Amino acid sequence: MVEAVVRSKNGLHARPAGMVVEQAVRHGGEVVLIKEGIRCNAKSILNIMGLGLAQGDRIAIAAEGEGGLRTENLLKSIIEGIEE
Amino acid sequence: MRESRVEAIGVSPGIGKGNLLVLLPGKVPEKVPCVNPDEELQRLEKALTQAGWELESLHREGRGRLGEEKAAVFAAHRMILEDPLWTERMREGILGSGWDGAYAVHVAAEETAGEFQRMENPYFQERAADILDIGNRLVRILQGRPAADLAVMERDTVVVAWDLAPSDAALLDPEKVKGIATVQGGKTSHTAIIARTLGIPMVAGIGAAFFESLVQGEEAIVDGAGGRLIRMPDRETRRRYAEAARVLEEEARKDREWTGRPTRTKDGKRLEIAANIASPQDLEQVLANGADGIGLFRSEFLYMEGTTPPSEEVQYQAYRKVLEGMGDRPVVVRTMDIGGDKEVACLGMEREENPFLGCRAVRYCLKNPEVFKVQLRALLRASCHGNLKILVPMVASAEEVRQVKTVLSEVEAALQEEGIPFRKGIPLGIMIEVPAAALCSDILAREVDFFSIGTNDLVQYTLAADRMNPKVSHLYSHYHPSVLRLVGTAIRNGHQAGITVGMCGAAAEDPGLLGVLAGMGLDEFSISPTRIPGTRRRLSEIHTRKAADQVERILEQDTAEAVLEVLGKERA
Repeated sequence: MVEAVVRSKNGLHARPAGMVVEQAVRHGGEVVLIKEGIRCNAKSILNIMGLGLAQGDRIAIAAEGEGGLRTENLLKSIIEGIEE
Repeated sequence: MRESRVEAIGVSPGIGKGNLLVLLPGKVPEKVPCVNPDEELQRLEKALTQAGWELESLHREGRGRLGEEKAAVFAAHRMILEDPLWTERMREGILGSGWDGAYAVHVAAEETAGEFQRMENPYFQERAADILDIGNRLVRILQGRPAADLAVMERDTVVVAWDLAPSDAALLDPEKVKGIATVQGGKTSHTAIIARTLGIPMVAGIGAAFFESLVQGEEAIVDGAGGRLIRMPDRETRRRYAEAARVLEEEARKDREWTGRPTRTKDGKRLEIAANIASPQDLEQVLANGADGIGLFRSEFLYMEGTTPPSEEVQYQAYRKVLEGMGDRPVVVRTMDIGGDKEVACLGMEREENPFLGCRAVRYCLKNPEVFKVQLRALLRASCHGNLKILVPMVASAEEVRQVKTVLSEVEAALQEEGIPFRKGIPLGIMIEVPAAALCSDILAREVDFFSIGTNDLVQYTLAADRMNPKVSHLYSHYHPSVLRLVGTAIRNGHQAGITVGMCGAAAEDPGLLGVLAGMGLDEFSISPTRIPGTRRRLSEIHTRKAADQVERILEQDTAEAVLEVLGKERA
């Protein structure tokens, strides 16, 4: 499990959320984002947008199974990389 | 199949030929039990696949036409489409509740959209609209209706619809859409205004029976000037319209020669031809047609999108964009002209028994100064970026002008205190569109810096004829002597007080009236951008002093028909 902070001024809106899903679906096992104890399926764009992540929000990323850490770090870089 | 035709109202001139794209009104799915759930599930999977293809091609083609940024919305739709969160709900609707596919999708979309609507962040709230949009696409496929993606369509299409929303019309590509025909609407509906802006021929009022009889893909001709829709035209008709289109094209070519020239009448009087616009997107057309300025920026369009009123910042950016785009040429922004036929969801206006005689435009603004002040602040802040003038609609008496001035000075004082820059002494004008304002224009002229005559409302209020009601539309005419007398009064009174008088209604671009208006001394004609070169050319052929001699005789006629006869033209 790794932690990430949302940097984008507009929060995690449709485009970055879409990029997260694109990577998450490539991972064989379950991938979840956790915000204040609320877990969401990172393979669902509706689920991610449903978290309503705003700038400064801190979330945990957990990917189960083989290559989990790689996926977690990839998602962290997407979530933190978008600063627009 | 033989040629058939229907007489309708021409609302945007020109002749267009193409294959029919019939937009059937969407049906809300009813709760229908399904006979075979497994089969229904397969239909749903197929519909999901087809919707995926549609969105993919929208994305691909949209990239070229709208740019990657705007087309990206279709990529996001694609991803939402396949999202397990709601596709599971759809499957559950079929297997668990035993509904048919269309109803299962409808329920899943409503439920999911509802969850987004309840979120706090407005960005996520607005995603509810995307979800409903995709849901509608799936329902449409499941109901076996053809796609109608207005932004991306075949070449040479004639779009026919029961009614076309202005937001849909704005998506139409004039390169491909050669004509529009609707059952509802009229000359002054917003869709017609957009069609004229885009230069697409359009007729309205084609009748429900004719609409129902149309078949997808048939060839059709829209005659926007004659007010006719012809399906399956025969050889002779096609030949005649091809000839007419050639003549129009030749006229248009001559008109285009006038694009960049100054506007001068035959006797050398300098006039101003400005453009009417509804959003910053129209700027391109305004500049391409060589407008002398913007005579009417309909700011209410800002209020018609979204579920919350536009913020000061959003408005500021829109006004600033237009002001900067126009350089030192004047930009007249009309403060929100809401109410009447323009319902605005985001302001939560109450329904009224008689909206055209109700709390609309300046009346609403004065009753809700907190909403009005946001717009005025945005306008004042934007004033540093160009040559701004502010125009107030629906004024009926002097105290309204004074009240507006009071609100304006409060906003100025607040900005001053906050140290936010704005231009002082921005010209303030009023619309002359209520008969009371025209009759008392001598009094009102002392209060303001300019008049702009709005003929669409002036005609409807003077003749007490609803412009959208086909039963009385024969009474609605800007040739009626009563209307022309009021126009003449306003121009004379304005000039006596030393202020300029313009016109921004449909009458200002009617070739038949240009002589009368120039003869009365109208200073500014504000019209659809595409009509500018032609109007400039026609004004150059008018001798204002000779035209002035004719005015008196015209005002003495007893009917609109008699006025037309004197003007020597058939009503278009």
